Amino acid sequence: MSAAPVGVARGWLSGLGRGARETLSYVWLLGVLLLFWQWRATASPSPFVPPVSDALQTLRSEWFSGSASQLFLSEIFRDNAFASLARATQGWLVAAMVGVSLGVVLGVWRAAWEFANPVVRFGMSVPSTVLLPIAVVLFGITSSMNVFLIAFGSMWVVLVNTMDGVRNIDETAMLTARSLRLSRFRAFSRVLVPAASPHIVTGLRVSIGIALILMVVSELFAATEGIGYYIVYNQRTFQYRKVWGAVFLLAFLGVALNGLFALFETWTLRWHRARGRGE
Amino acid sequence: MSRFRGALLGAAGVATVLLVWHGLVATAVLDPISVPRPVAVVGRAADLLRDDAFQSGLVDTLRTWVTALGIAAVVAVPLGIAAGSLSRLDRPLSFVVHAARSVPSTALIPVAILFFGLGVRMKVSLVIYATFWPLLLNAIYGARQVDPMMTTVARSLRWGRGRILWRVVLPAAAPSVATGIRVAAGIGLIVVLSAELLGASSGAGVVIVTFQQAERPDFVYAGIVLIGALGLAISAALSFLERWALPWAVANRR
Amino acid sequence: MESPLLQIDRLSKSYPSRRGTIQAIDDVTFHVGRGEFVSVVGPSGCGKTTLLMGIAGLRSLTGGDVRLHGQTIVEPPEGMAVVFQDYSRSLFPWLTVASNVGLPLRGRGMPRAKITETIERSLHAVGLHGVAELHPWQLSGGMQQRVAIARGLAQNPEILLMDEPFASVDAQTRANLEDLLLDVWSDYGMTVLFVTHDIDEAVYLADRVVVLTASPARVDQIIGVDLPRPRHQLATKARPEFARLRARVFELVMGSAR
Repeated sequence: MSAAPVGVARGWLSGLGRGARETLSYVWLLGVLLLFWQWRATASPSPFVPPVSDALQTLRSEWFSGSASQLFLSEIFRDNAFASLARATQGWLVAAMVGVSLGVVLGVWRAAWEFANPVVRFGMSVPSTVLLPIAVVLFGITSSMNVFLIAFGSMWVVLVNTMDGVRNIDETAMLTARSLRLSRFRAFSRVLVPAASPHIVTGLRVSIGIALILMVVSELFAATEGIGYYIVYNQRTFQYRKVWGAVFLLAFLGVALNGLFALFETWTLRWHRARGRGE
Repeated sequence: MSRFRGALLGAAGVATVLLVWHGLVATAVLDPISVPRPVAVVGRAADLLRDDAFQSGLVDTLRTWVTALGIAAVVAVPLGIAAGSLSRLDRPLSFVVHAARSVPSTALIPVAILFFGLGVRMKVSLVIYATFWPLLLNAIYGARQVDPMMTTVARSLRWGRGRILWRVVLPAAAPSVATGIRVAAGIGLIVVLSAELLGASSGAGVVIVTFQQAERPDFVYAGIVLIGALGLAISAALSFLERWALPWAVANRR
Repeated sequence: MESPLLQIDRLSKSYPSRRGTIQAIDDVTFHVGRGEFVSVVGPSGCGKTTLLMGIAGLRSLTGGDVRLHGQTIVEPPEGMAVVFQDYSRSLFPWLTVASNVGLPLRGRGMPRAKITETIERSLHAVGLHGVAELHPWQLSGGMQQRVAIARGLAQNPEILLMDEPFASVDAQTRANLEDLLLDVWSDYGMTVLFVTHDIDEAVYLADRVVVLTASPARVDQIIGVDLPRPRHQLATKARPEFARLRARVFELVMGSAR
């Protein structure tokens, strides 16, 4: 009977070992590259490229040096990162809502799609950052400018993917819905939207990356606070370590946000991945 | 008949947008000082096309973009295909790519300026960095999803490794690589224009910023419209090339 | 004589194409009586599925008329349920088995308890137990098609239309499903219109077999099957009458295919 807890512990440890080994198989190359960077930077120091350790230290001291009650977030974090993230969130939410609604309408109603197609194609082709000067003219150097640019730039991917998802719905699924005599509303909410959701979610995922890029760029161009503003300010005052610290912060934020979204995606689209594997 | 109707509706769409725009400015709902009328924008666009400074700026931008894209492709595509074929390397490499892509390449513009100043080298290196990752990722993915059936058939014909790579893996990965090129082209254009807007010394973006600082929004709008048209032309050209070079890929996608 | 449940009169269907009009179905006329089991067979590509979709009100007709209880069908009518061939695309993967079966019952004012009861009864009738909370893709092909049939049964239809429902499963599963269908048909006392390319299956299951010609399809002959019920996979198929009927249908189908 005493063998049981030992067996459990051994099982748990080997599971841990397997998990560790799997994580390692992903991470080792990145680790090697970072170590290489560290070695080169300490061997032949350059003011422009500090060692990784310095950058990480600056990251901690600048952004994460607050007290425990404030979740270790420093005042700089609260002043700048919150502002940036708030803009990104607002802009992305607008993009998501407008993109999905318009995408559904254009996907379902063929005439509407033909009407809007040239305009949409053109809007998509304008690289969003080129709109910066216009955005500043229209909104001045305010948060609204950033939010506008983020929303406008991220919307297109969502729109196009939603449209694709709706238009390419399996014909059998729609025939089935009709044969079941589902009401229009039910056919829409229980069949059309779920069937298109893999495409829609893909569009939402890609748009997060675009939103982050536009958040940074719009702040590099014109802002009074935010991560981008912080970067430009320190670049102009030759505080290279702080610039790199902020770059690392962006990397962590990007990984965190993408990771969160991946979790959301896994939860909502369980049926899609499992079905793909089954077939 | 339906194709005609489609074109007609599309033209109606464009016309509606222009009319609404004109109306909003004429009735001063949109401030006429910051938002020029569509007619004015068209006129300025024509002026810009004839303007030497804009022309040379545009050429500069395009040249930078093509050079950087080319260099990135020449390195990333073979590396990606090789890595995708070797199962050992593709996981960690994909992870590195995802980590690198989490840093918006535009955030590195100040860093690049620190390194290279404001000249062409700065822009080229930035675009290389930004386009490298999607090219690499798509090449890895393309090589990885080659149907093992095909390589098995090739080996049963006693083909050597090199021949398999050249005759089987490469064509099978080509559609994915083509997608990577299309995505990278779009990203590259955004990055080069961003760099120009944020302080580079030459390029189309610089011209636009100059007009913004001179408070000529009509020229700014015109510049944006032209760049949009450029983007449209590039994506249409790439799609056409893709369909011409890889006709079987489009058919499979359906 | 009682008027037939389903009347198909001079049904025709054509498509415009680059090379002019393609006539898929020329002139199909037959009736289905209440409680009957009618099979439809024909050479490959003769338009069987198109015909069934037209009868079900899922595709528009170029000419002719389909009447259920004397009322012309323009869209899927009450009292008619359809089972499609491709269960993997007809059952919705984002819903559980129970939700799939219950989907046609919602939004009609049926109390929830009754819906649950109907779902249970339908799943039970097709021999499925304990799968209600699973998703369709977690089941085998044969079980998925049973779920599709259960969904049809849940609608308490007067007539069940089936489009080559057992074409995508292996032979052994097919035999089980055929017998299950016969059980359900007699238990529920409904009418079945069954489209198939499998001649043995058509004769084994039916009271009458409608044989179509090659495209453009017309009714070649309607053959009565007076084999005794209940049918058995071995006993019935060993009878000389079965062989004779089967050969007759085979001749007609192969003959028109040439």
